[in-house]
Amino acid sequence: MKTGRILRAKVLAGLVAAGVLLPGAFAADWPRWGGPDPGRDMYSPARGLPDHFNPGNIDPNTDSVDLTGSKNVKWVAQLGSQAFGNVVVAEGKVFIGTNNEHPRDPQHQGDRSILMCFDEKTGEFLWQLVVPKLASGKVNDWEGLGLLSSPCVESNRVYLVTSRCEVVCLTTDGMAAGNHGPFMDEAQYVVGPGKPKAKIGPKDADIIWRYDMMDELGVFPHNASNCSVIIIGDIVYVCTSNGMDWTHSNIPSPNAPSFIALNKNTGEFLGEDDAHIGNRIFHGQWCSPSTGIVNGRQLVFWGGGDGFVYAFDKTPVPAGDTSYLKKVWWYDCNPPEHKVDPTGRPYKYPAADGPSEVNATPVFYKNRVYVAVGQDPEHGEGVGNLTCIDATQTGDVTKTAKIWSYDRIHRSLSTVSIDPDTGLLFVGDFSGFIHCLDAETGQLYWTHDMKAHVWGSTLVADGKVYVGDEDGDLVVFADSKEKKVISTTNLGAAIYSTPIVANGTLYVGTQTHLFAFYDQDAALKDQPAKVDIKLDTH
Amino acid sequence: MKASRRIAGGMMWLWLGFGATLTAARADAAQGWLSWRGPQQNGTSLETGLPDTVDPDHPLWTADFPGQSAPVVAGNRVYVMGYLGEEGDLQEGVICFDADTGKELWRKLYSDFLSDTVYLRYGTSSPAVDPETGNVYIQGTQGILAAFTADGKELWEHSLMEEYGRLTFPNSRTASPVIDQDLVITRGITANWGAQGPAADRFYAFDKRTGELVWASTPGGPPKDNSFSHPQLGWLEGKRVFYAATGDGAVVCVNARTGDPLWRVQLTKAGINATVLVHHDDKIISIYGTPYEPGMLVALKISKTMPTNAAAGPVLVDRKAVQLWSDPISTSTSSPILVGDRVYVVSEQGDLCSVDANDGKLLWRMKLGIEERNSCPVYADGKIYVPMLDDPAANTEESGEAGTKGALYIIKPSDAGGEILCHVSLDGRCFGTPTPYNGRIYLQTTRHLYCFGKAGDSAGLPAPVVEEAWPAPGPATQLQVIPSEVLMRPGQSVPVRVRELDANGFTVQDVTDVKSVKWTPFIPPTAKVRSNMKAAFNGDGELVATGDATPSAGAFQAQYAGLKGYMRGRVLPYLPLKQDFEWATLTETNAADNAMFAYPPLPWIGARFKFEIRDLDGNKVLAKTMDNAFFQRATVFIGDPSTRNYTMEADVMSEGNKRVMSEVGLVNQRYYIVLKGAAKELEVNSNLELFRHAAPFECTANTWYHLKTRVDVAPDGSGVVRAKAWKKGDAEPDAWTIEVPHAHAHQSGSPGLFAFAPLKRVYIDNITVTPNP
Repeated sequence: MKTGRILRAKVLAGLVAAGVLLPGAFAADWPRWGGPDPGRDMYSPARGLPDHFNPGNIDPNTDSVDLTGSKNVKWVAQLGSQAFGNVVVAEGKVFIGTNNEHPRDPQHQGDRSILMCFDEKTGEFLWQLVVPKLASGKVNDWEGLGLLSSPCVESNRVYLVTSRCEVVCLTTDGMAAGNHGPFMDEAQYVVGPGKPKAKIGPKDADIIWRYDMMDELGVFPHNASNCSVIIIGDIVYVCTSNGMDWTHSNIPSPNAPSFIALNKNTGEFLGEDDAHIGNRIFHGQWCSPSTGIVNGRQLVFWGGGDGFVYAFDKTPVPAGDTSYLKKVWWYDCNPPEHKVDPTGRPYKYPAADGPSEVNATPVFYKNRVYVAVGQDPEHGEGVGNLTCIDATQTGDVTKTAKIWSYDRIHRSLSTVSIDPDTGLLFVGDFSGFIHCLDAETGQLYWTHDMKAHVWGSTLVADGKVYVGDEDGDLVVFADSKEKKVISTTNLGAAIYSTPIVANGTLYVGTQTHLFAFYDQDAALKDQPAKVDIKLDTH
Repeated sequence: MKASRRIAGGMMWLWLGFGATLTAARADAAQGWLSWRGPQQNGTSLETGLPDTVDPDHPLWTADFPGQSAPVVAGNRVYVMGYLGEEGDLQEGVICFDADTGKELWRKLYSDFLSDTVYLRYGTSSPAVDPETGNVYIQGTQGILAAFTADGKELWEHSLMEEYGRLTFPNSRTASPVIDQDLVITRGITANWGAQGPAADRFYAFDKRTGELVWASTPGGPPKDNSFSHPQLGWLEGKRVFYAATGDGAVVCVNARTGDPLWRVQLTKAGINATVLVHHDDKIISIYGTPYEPGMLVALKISKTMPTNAAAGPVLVDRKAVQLWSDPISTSTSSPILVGDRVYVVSEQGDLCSVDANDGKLLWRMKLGIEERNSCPVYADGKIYVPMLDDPAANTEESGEAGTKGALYIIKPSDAGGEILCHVSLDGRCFGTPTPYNGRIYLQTTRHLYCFGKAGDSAGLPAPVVEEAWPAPGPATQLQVIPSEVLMRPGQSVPVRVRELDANGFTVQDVTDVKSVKWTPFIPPTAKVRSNMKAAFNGDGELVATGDATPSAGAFQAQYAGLKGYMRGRVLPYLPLKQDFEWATLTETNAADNAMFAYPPLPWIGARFKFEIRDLDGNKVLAKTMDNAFFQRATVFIGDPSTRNYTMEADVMSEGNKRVMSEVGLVNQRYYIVLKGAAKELEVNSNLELFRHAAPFECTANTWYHLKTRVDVAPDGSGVVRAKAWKKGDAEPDAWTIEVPHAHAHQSGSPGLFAFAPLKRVYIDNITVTPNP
């Protein structure tokens, strides 16, 4: 697991050349949202993980941490005051999105979105991407939220969506390794258009290319752009976050795409979805895609702002003056009872009993797609639905592809975790419940009331289930059919992100801090050398 | 000592030592829970005998009047905001119920118009009852401010949106009016005209009897959020003041008699919605935060530093200099209450917290739910009545009721903790705050108004409120001109009153010798457009607009006995209106693209910096600005809100391409008529969620179209909105592109302009407004 970066890059290059991609080739990294698995199952085969924690003491006024008395803490990094971005660990570096409440660079004061990069071993701050806020304000770029996207790291490149509704490609090394093009004007980028340029130093990000979805496609993101992109071969797949305007009733840009493909090397536009969701968007679009191979064909799975899950063929097809990502199948995740009330009257979005969009990431697992519906937390609690969809069909599969659905879940933002060893599925919901089901049948084994909103997802690893909540509680359950709470630890600030594990270390981001938890004794035993996830890209 | 006090039953008059001379205290005509925060202004009641438990299956009565309001009670009458109906027939307003029976006594409901209200967030404010007269004052989410007698007879009404540029917000949080002697004080984010053109969180005081504007106050800067933080009245350094939190993240102190901002303390970068508390007359307790970023509960020593003069603006008080304590408890919209030395507040995440007001020490917290929004606890009879947005007991995996049930807890607090006496699930979510009065608890949910308790009078009613005497005024130092702002039509006259005020803002006397008041047109030194109102004062103290049909705006200075005061106003012509912008001289330069432009007419509300008059191919047109994306959406009012049954036309154009175009349109009698290029539609809407109708209309970018719209209202109150569009230069089509009937049609409304241009610029030209034949 200590293979050097250069060797990794060579091996990766060789695999790509051979037409076989091992996503996140060194699978003990967590190189993107969902980790090594491009199906985005919130699962890791890691072993020897800590399950009891003491985070030390955080000063509420300065957010500084005193690690006296802490337990299983490898390092702690201070973030801004909000950090919804999920942690990614790759090539010896740790990436997380946050805001600029505690500026790392005195040139940049006030509200900014920040991608921070830390050294994996020490937690030392290495560099940051500074993203100025959009001038249009909260309608497109809600103040204070920071950078929401989890980057996708591949071959010394970092791909992410900024809060300015851009897709950017960075180097993993930052400016310390020089300014690589074609994009060279970081000094202007980091302050925004029309402002005096900043002084760029080794702790700034090195942008390779940038694609502005608002300027290029007329996208109107509702409140926030957040997609955690996925890459297949040379193509980056991105949710545009096109949505409603300030009124929550009007789609200003119905002809803008909801889902696009870009060339990962150049940022060139390659294609847009043929789902034409524009006029059907309930509110916003914040789903990140996953991918998997079904019957030899690689599909990209993504949930729309209309409550459908779409499976697109990975290859854009030219048509007229654009190219389309063609739908292979589509499935309406809102059951009929969420569309009309018992008297037959349609529910009006966002009625608590009514339909929702898909914000969670569809998880591809054994030819099935698992996803729950949910809504913007601003809309509060409401009914939900978790569906297990047969991914092998084509066309409108709403009536035919449901393997099972589970309606005792509430509105959910959470992506499922499935343990391939036990077949257990875990998922949280916004009302604060954790649900444990049989992934095969949908049978419920247990629920647990966290007594706080849950925004993030569960992580299943090492026979345990890790999840955080809005009260700041990190709860560890046993990965079992019987409910067992192993530990509950308050980390001092709300946990809106998802715990992840990389190279034997568990990372948990709160709104204000990133904790790297490591149980040295346990970690020395029983670490898997590599995860055997293969993805045939033919 | 300066809050209203209650006295023992037999002792009807209480004299308080304040100043050298006192005016008589007054026993209030109306008794009850007359405003949102109750008689103590802090969410506590002195009443006893209130219920320990309630049973939602057996309330005293319920009414199907959903909303997010807190009822107010005056004697045997309950007044509450709420809404009835659905879609285009939904109306919001006030209903008066008999407190014993729940029988409806009267109602006044309004159709929503031109608002951004979504998700049925109606009835978010509370009425206020004037203790002196029993009159009732309301503010609707759409900005209707209205006064009624206790029997429901309307006294006056303002459309704050069309008269003062009040903006609406999707969160719909709306101020509850506050009565202070002769004034009714309210607030909102406004973008009016002239010096009050830039959007700000402003307070307004109207004469409670006449509805005339007495003052407008701008204590802060650019707002970050809407705020419904309720002003708390008090006394400071001999002045009648109020304290409130603001949409730009500050706590302010404002002179309640003059509107002069006295000081402000910046607390946070986001807006603050929670109402402040005043503890021991020496500290303000304020709580702030957002749903996504925790804030603080803080205590601030009340600053006694006063500004050197009103024009200098409020004293900016450094938070560090006045902060006494802080506690990491946060809410975004829910307010704390004060019971003696104890602060009770429900945190954003649903924890009821008890805090020592003296030192900020958290005594205990108990989890009652997982989220609180807008609603607040009240304290009465040794118990805290705590509504919760969602009932946690209704959210279990068995019930499937998430998001449809609220909860009410009744908790007996001590310093050791809270004892839950009662916890019930209510039908509908709780955004409203309970009202305790006369042995009963009233609470409105998003489905019902509940009244719990017993019929008949309670023996536990506290003694009647007696408002303490106000200080006698000192020597006169300034004039107050009422109304302080007018909207006139050519030839119209408006009586104007002048008062002498002392240095603290108290009325010394009314100026009766109106002939001796000297009026001169006044241009503020900061004015970007140097303009006068086409009007003059006659010898009888009346302002008379000239017959000139050109719109105008400006101000006047009054001088009398060496004292000065100011008023301002606009004159807007009668129909027909015609505007082609060819008169404009383009003398300004836009810094972003160096284009020459002229400001739009000064009396237009909400126009400046959102539109510019520019030259386009040799033609002077109104162009949407693009350099400030924050102003990408704009509604401009160009007329009088009493205008009705008219036809409006204009040429409109959007730049763009096949994929992207912007929206441009008109406002006719409170209906938007919008050409939506990207959607290829001509749309009629008034609130996008409730009243929205569109017809297909093929249009392309960079092409001028002519819009024509007409509204006709029938005697029964119904109406039809008609609109058509065609390519400019083509013959007018015979048929309307869209005709929309509306059962509760808007009876009048200012003509206006609309643009929503996030990416592509739009233009408007050749505007006409003519009476319907």
